[in-house]
Amino acid sequence: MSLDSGRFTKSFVIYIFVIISISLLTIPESITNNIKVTIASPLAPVQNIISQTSNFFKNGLRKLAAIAKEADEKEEMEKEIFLLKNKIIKQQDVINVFKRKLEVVTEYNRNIDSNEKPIIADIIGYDVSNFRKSIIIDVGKKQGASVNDVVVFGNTLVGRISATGNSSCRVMLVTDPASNVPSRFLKSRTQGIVQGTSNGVCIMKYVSRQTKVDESDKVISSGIGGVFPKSLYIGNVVEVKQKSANLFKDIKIMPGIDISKIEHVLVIKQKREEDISE
Amino acid sequence: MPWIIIISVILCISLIQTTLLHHISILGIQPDLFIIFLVFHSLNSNMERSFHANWATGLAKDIFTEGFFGLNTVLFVIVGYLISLIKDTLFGKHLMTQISVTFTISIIYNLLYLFMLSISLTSADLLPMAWKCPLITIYNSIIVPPVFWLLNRFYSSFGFPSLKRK
Repeated sequence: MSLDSGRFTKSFVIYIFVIISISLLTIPESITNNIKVTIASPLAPVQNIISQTSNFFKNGLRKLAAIAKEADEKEEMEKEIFLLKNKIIKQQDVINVFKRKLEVVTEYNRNIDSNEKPIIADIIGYDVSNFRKSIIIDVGKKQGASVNDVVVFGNTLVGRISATGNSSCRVMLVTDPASNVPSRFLKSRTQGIVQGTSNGVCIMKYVSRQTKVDESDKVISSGIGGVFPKSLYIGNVVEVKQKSANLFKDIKIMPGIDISKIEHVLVIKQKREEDISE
Repeated sequence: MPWIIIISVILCISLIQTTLLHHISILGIQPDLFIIFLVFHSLNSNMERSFHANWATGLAKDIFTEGFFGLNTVLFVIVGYLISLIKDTLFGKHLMTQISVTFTISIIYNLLYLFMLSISLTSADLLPMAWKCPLITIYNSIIVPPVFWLLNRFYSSFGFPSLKRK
């Protein structure tokens, strides 16, 4: 009996709930909305707290992500800036190189009255021996250079070509012990031969003991012999000595160019016999 | 194969010597890697192989210097032979031996070179150049340890047979 009454109660409750649910469906929307708001309003503060907290964390995470992203972007930008700076430096270097080349050519043209266009060359190597002084330049037969062509920097004599290849050649410097340049003093016009010593200085030979030589006097090429053009600056007198028994003075010349400090030189093409005959 | 390696090393030395070493020159003097390479080979390989290597090294030096072609080739062979004569009495693996042999050989080579140069350039007064000899020698001796170490590392990485004396 009691079992039957229990089943009945359960079924009754179910029916009631079904009827209520169906009846709820029939309630107008305005009323249901009020019901919803009324029921939900006590939960609003809690919802607010939870949503604010979650938003706080969410924003925090977003910010962290943004910071990480910005850091990546910053790193990339820094890399880009670094590369651009390098490019600028490289371009500045290129501009400087061209400027220097232009200066060398301008200086040469200002001082030398010649229609012959010089060849500009880069220094690409140095002599491996400590007793010889020569350089290798990136100009050769292809560019028109040949043996005995004179090499200058501005108006200063550097040396002459001793061997040529197709695209490079060797220049014997005025400081090489085998180099002999007919020269004269700028003021007194006294002639002599400037010879290299491989010590970074040259000596002026065959200047008689009677000649008056001032220290700091300038020495230029005399043009005698035809290998070196005249009036090319060679260097300054730095020391004059006179040993009692010697016929000639001992004169030391400091070359006008420190070869380790320059990157470019000019090759002056010599007048060939065939050019002259033309 | 060993010859390709030796020639490659000689080429590298030539390039370094012509392009980089002038940056570390003191009073216009730069270390001579060719001499150090000559001492290295003469101390570490048999007479026949060191002869060929020294000849090639001298030839390379001649190519990259002004003046008579073949002068360095001859001098390198002579100096290399001198080392080969005494190397059995020396402990060539020791650093002090390497430095002292380089020191002695550098001075002999530079004096011989200066002597030969004075014969060929009669007009030039080469006596003032003699002061360079001890300085070059000292400079060469100073850089012996790193150069020998590098050459040893390089050759041993190839399992180079010339380092084993016969």
